[in-house]
Amino acid sequence: MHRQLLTILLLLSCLNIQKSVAVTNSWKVIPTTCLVKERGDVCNLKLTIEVPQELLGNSATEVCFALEDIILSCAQSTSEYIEVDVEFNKEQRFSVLLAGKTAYETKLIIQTTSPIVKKRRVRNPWSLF
Amino acid sequence: MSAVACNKMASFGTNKALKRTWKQICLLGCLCLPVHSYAEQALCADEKDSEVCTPVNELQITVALGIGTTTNPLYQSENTPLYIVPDVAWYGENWYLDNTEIGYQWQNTDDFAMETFVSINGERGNFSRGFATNVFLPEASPGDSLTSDPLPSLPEVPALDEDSNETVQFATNIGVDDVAERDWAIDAGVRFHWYKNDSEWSLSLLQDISSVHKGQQAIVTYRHKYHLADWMISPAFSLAWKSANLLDYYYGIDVRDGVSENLFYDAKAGFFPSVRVSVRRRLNENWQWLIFGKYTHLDKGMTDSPLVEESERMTFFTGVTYRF
Repeated sequence: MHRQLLTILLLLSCLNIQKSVAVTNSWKVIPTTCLVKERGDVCNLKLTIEVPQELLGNSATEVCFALEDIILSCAQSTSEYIEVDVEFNKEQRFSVLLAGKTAYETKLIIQTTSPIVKKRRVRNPWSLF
Repeated sequence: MSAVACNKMASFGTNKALKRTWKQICLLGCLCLPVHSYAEQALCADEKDSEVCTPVNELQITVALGIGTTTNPLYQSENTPLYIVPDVAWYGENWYLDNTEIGYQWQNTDDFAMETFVSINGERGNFSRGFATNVFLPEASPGDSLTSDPLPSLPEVPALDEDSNETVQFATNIGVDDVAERDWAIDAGVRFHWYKNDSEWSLSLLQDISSVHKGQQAIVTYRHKYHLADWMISPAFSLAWKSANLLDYYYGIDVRDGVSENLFYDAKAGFFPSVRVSVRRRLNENWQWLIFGKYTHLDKGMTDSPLVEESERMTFFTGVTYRF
């Protein structure tokens, strides 16, 4: 009975290891959503980029990060997590580059706490003048 | 908007060609409609500029307090002093009210917008001081004109009959008080906007629907916005074409006016180029400082009228604005 339980636990733990390996095999960027007061406000975000396990095992590789194809910074893939500061005020495309090629891409989204929706006026303000 | 609505719109035209043009414009607008749904509707790109971007479903009232004037090109007319000027806007999801205009937005995306509307034609404003810019001002009395120039005297010419001691005066101008009253008119129109960054082109086509003058207008406008810290500078250039029917109703002189036939005048269609600049500086959440200037060159079709003395119309105002 004890041996059977031990086997089950061993199998489950193996499954768990398999799962975590699968996750860390891909890039992960956290967070991808920024909350601002009003639309158009600038968002300063510290992104944490999780480096895939396979890259950690290899010799140090240079990883670069870009916002809308503009390189922000580059780092060596020696640590599991890399932090990057970004500043943006509208939805942006964040890319991870390996040897100049896009290895991973995600959107950085801005959400506002202000529920007010505004519309562009069709006439000049002060049209009564 | 359906083809039926377009047919109704086309009925505004006074002749077949005009009706066909209206219908074509209307149908062209309809063709664009399915391309962009409301979900894709452009949010205001310049949300911090509360005067350009207005909250949906909220009545926005702003009042300007300051000093300024609008010149009146008509003979024996007074310039309009500007002390308190309101700016009223309400925008729903599609319907809107913007000062003297009520309209319906059919399309509103980042780079294109189209609306149909009805608005008060401002031409009648030259004939009275009770126009919307002066809603808080009493009717003018002769002494409070900003122009202190005496009225020009009629040209004096020698008597035709040398035996007579009398001289004959030929009037070349006539004042608004000496002609029949002109009515306010209501226009219906369609307007197209093309936006790119801080620039905007717009085309407005208007037709009198109140059967007052039965005329048309077409206006092309280019507007740009410059943001410099707390400053917002917005120059705009426009070219308006006004039909002979419109100009003749207001500035033509005929039997309805009960004046001498030598003053009769048939106004012709004409172009009116205009430039306007507004400079605003945000002081705090509600207050702004405003400088506004506008210059319009008047076409000969209008200025040749005995009713008209000046060849331009100008507006200048400086003061503060308060947004409620």
